[in-house]
Amino acid sequence: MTADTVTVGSFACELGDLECKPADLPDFEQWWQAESNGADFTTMGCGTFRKMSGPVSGYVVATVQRTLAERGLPARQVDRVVFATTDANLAQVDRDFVAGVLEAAGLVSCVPVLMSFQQCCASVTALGHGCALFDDPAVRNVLVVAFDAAATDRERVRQFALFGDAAASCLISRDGGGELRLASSAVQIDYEGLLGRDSMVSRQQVARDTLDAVLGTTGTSIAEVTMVFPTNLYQPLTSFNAMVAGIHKSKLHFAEMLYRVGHCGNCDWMLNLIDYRDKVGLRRGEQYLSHASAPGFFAGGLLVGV
Amino acid sequence: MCPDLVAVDRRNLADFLASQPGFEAITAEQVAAARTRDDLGLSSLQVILVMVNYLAATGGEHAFRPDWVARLDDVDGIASVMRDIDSLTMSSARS
Repeated sequence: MTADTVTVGSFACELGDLECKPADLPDFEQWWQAESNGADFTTMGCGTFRKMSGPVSGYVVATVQRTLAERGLPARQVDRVVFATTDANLAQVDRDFVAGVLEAAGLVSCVPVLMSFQQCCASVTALGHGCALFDDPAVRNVLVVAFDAAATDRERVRQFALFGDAAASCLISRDGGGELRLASSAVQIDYEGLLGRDSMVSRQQVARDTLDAVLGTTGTSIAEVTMVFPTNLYQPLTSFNAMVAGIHKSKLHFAEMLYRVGHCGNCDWMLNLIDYRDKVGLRRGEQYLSHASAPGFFAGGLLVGV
Repeated sequence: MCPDLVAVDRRNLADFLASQPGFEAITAEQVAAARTRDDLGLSSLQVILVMVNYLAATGGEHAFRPDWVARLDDVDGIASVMRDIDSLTMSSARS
């Protein structure tokens, strides 16, 4: 992993500006029945979700500006930006996306790259990639920017989650200033899951293998992790997935954000971390786990307070 | 496994499903005759809901154990997990 002086922080987000309820969706009941086979939606832990009223690029620029403002870092001092989004959202990354975002955010000396094809795990991988960029001694500041927005309302209602829209970002810096250090990260594939043939057993296996890879690198046990920031699947699913991976549900911080904003694709772990930071704080020496799951993938990152 | 005990486990599963919103249409006869969760028309989400709700209904003190996952594709397996949750709950109550 990267040198101890490389820190991660200045987490920020820009949620979709329209607050909606599932019942606001025109055919919600019909869609939910089709997806859930008759399950009771009121037990899913969802209250509202956020919807973007404009192009996603505007929200990406806004979260970048928040991150830079929190650090007081001029945009021209950012060397690299790692964007991350889900496969379904790639269509929103058109040929003008990068130029428009870099120009609007003032990122005039910044090399962009996009991390995708890992669904909701993309931003965890982006964080690891962003830290690895510091192998180049010339790199001093790297932005990681996750974004996801459903293309249609029908796509919001799924068997495993209710989708909302958000962008979230953080800054990785060589000169410190962040609250965390990335100690290790890993992503693994559940090939059968990628093809839609996964089972509870295969999902459990990839979850446990990924956790072993993340925690084994540093010899950390899950009991030593203070809090886990997971993907906002429906509450029973998130709790169950954690339990079968060996994570006690008391270590999960997600329920309130799930209730307020739903599942915002690959942004979730950052949204949950921000919520926890604002309410509890990130403490020196304590360990936190970013924890993302998707059909076919599982990813985790061990973050240590500095 | 003793056939009588299997029948009791299945009856417990049927009774619990009957008490849960969204599962009322599944009859005790269907539970008695089914071999897999697919036979009952249960998706993985629904099986997870059954397990999470059962843990809550038995006091919410115990977590789902990772080694139980492999049992969730067939009806006897689901019913036996519920029996194990009951056993844990009773052990806790006695101690």
